[in-house]
Amino acid sequence: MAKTLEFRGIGKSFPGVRALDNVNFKAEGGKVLALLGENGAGKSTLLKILSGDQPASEGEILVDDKVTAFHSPHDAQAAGISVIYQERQLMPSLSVMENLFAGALPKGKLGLVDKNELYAETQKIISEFGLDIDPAEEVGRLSIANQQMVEIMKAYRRDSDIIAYDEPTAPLSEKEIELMFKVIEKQKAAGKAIIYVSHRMNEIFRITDEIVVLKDGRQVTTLQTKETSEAELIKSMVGRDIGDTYSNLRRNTPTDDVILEVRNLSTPKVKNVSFQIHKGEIVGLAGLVGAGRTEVARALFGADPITGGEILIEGKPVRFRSPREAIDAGVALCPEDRKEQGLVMYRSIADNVAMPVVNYLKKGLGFVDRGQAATLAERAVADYAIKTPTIFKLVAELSGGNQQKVILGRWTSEKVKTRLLLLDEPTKGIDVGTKAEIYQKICDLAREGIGVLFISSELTEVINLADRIYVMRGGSISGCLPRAEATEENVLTLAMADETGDAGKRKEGRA
Amino acid sequence: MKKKSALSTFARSKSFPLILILLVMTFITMVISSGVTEGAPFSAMFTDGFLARGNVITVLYSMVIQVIMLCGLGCILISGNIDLSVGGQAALSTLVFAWLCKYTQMPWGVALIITFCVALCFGLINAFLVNKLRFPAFIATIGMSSIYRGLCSVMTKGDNIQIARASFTAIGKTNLFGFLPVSFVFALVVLAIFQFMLSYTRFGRSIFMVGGNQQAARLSGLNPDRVRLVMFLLNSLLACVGGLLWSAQAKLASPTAIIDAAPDMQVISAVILGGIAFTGGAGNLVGGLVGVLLLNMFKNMLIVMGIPTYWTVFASGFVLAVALILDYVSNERRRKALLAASAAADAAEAAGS
Amino acid sequence: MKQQDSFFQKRIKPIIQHKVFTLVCLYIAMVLIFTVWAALRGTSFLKVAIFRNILNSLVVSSFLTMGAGCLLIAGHLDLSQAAIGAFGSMVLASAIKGWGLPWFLGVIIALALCAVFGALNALLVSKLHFPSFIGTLAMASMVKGLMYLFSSLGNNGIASNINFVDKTVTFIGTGAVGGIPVGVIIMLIFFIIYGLIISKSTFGMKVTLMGGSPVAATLAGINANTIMLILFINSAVMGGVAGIFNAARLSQGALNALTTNQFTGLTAAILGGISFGGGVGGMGGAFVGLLILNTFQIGMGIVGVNPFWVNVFSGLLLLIALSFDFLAQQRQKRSLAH
Repeated sequence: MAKTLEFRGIGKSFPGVRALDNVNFKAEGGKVLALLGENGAGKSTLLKILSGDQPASEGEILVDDKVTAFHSPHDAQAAGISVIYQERQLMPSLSVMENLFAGALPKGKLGLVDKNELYAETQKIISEFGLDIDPAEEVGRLSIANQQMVEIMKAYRRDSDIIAYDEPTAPLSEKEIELMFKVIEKQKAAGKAIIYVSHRMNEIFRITDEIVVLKDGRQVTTLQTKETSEAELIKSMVGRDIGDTYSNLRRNTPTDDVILEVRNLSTPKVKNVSFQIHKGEIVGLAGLVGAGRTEVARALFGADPITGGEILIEGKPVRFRSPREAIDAGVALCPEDRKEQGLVMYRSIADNVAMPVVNYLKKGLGFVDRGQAATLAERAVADYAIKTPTIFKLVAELSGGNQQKVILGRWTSEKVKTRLLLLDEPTKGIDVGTKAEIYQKICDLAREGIGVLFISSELTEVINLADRIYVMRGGSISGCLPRAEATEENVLTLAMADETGDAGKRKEGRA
Repeated sequence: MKKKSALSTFARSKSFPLILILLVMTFITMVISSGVTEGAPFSAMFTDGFLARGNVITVLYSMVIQVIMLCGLGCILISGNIDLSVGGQAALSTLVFAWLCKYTQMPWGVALIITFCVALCFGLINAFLVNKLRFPAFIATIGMSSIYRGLCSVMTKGDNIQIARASFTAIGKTNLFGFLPVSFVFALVVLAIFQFMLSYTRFGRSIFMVGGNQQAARLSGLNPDRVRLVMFLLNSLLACVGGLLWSAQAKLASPTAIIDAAPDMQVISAVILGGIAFTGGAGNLVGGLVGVLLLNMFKNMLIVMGIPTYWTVFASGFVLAVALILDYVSNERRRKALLAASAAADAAEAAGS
Repeated sequence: MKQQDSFFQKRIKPIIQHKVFTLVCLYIAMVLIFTVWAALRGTSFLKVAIFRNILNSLVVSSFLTMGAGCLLIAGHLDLSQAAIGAFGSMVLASAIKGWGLPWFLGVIIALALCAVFGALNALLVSKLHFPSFIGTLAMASMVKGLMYLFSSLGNNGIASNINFVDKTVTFIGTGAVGGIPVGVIIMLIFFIIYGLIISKSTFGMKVTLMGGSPVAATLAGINANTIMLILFINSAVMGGVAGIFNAARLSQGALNALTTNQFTGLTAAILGGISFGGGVGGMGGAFVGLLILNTFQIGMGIVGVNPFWVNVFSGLLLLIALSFDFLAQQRQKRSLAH
């Protein structure tokens, strides 16, 4: 029987912030509804309300046209709602079967857990998905992709009538994405209502029927997938026509001087990686999540130990034992996880900019020269057009884009003298407008002669920004593509195909 | 269904090397303490020194309170929490019991029930601080332990209270077959029940789930706060039972003796030694029992071998440090193995696609 | 009118909003309560002698607070501080009495030994990644055992307190200059130095940044391990200084030295606004926190409350301090929630 879920006038306020305002939509059984919006548009708040994790401030949720109130995830599940989370919510030290059936372990004799039934039921679901996973295996031992599949199976197991997918495909390869789409088709055919949150346009056009576009917590429009186009969607997401971001950039020109040469670099998760970066060049590093890109950057920065290979900076071999040594040699890293690894959230912009150069801000007896620190921060705020009233604002109070600008400002202040900039997913979760500003800033830095390593999972941006792209797969480099040859298809082939196949031929590239 | 044989599981478990160490240590102590090396007959090894009946009984008695506390604390650690106030709780609840026995005419059974209710209140307070006020468990329980310690002194002005109920103190001195204290057997039964609960009941599994990933457990429809509440209640009740068994042996309740002996710290060392991860989500009570055995026998061995008693103070910290180092090493190894397994799985998939 | 407003905004408001201001108000309220209470009991509380007493009683635990406070700002705990300090006092006593060394050599040896234990703590926490509270707890127990062994050496294997006589040490412990106890003077100087280091120096800035987020700090070139090493050594050495003051006052290296002060340092630091999660707080707050604790204890004595209750109340105070910390964090979180 087809179920329906309706959000009527849903709003959510946090003190001082309006996260959601008057959102209305109806998800119907047998249809897939897409939620689309930039980061910060309110999608995750919406899902939190749906899952019962947080209550709505106003409005009502109707399940099958009956007003329903959720006070906990338990209530939402009881009403037939399941949410598949982007950050996998798994218990790594427990088995696959216990993860799937947590909260609903089958009862056997004397009210004890019936482990045989648990095993059989789990095996049944795994077979339906066509996967090869041992139900008794610890989840922590599975591949990232299979862990994601466990997360999806969890919702499948509950046989809920309303299922929400929150950007489920990020860690999946084509194969699993296909499997997942088949599952969604099946659920659709069974009359379930599906809510699908994703950034990937091709997925949205492939499986959804209706699209709700959110911006700044407000519902901009609701469109029928068949009747709309990518351009129209982007326009309504951003609220303006952004034109072609990439063709408007003032470009850099790579020189022939090598700034960084890596020979056979190995770490526990990286095997024999070799590549070069020239002065003034932006080198992209593409690949699937878990391919070892972050690990390469961390190894170059002295954050993780190296087990083999050589790193040469301007021809001189170096071996950094700590990030400090790397920074002193002119290497800088913007880490992937901005909030956890990049910034001290409850400190001011000034302090965060000054972090790598605290030692150089001395004025006699080891006292901090606050004036000089303020000058550095003021300059970063001006250079990057960081939106803030003062440099003493806590970075936790800034938007994601401005936070990223603080990190960039930290590494490009005159005191650090960065020669090689390692950027790990610098535009993750940043709105389109700020993204364009950051792209331009990266090009500007390259124009000043800095070598840039640009790691990103967003193929369009790597292809359009990088002068050359190295593609990684399973911890090693599977190929190098100059910009002229870089198409989404070529990069994906290298990122996923077997090394002996097509990809091998293009392996040399321009190095 | 792929099932590993019980024997191989045991051989790979964390307790296995501990048991080996234990056996070797026992043997060495048996030899040295029985005087075999100085010409005593071989049979002396099994009757004198370390294995002398009196000594064995002493060791078993000293372990009762720890084994009982192990059941509660072990579960608390598996669920990713900690309680550093069990010593204080045990001391205060025994004082309450002793006071009731001494200054009222009620049968000790009634006093026992009242004491249990008091203990449950302790658990309720801990759960409130951690669940409602979201204090870090260990600092909240340190604060509570200081309060309990103070209340103990306030209640008795620092003196002991004698317990003169013969039928109660009998529990503390009855031995089965002449060498097996009834209270120790009782402790083992409690341990078996709790281990069974952990492995086979839904509540037991939910303790692991909350310890493994609290948010995931919550989003799966479990209520971590409720699990924690029940855990803290059970833990306080067990602390109280452990304390009462201790005072049945000592025939008194003391405001300082239990706290000074720090059974909770001993148990935490033992539990870590026995393989319950500090971060929660893994481990079992049997490993903890092996840890308790190891710790107590180790101390006793030092005594029977004539090593100055001050070493035993050092030893308990030393064993905790060693336990932590072992925990660290095995976690590292496990983490690496997991990484390797996960990476291998990824590679296999990539090759397959 | 407008100018007045901006003066208020700029100068007065930050002072009022500062946590230390709240604490000072709390302190004044407490003093008033005790004054009235004592008056009702027919004694008096508001006397110079009593406040000299209070300050004097702070000395030993103040050094513990300085060590523990710095460490707490960086997000770590040291539960072995008191045990290490007691060992230090033992070493000082036997250096003077047993080995016949001049007092300053005794002090140097004692503090050096404390530093070694501190370095070991740092090693456990930074290299082996022990949770700091459990690693230092193990250390505390080991140090205590070693102290017993140490004091039993050359004493027929029986551990006991060591009495000693040294005029200079006794003067440092109990003497006074111009009516102000020497210990109080030293304590105030240390507080000022530590306060300056934490709030004004580059090192202090690195400590607070590290407390805010160790990972981010490391990736921004702050060497977290070095800072941790310095802070753990500092904590242990300050434990040693506290132990030495204790010994100087009693002319005795005592086995149970500092046991009553064990959590005082920590409680005072938290009460004084050093956040339990690290990254926030300073020495001024810690000093006021300590003042509150000790005034409370002495005040309770003067109004005639059973001394056994003091233990109960100090546990309660720790929990109240935590609640303040918790409420402040909640407020911050709420104002930042998006």
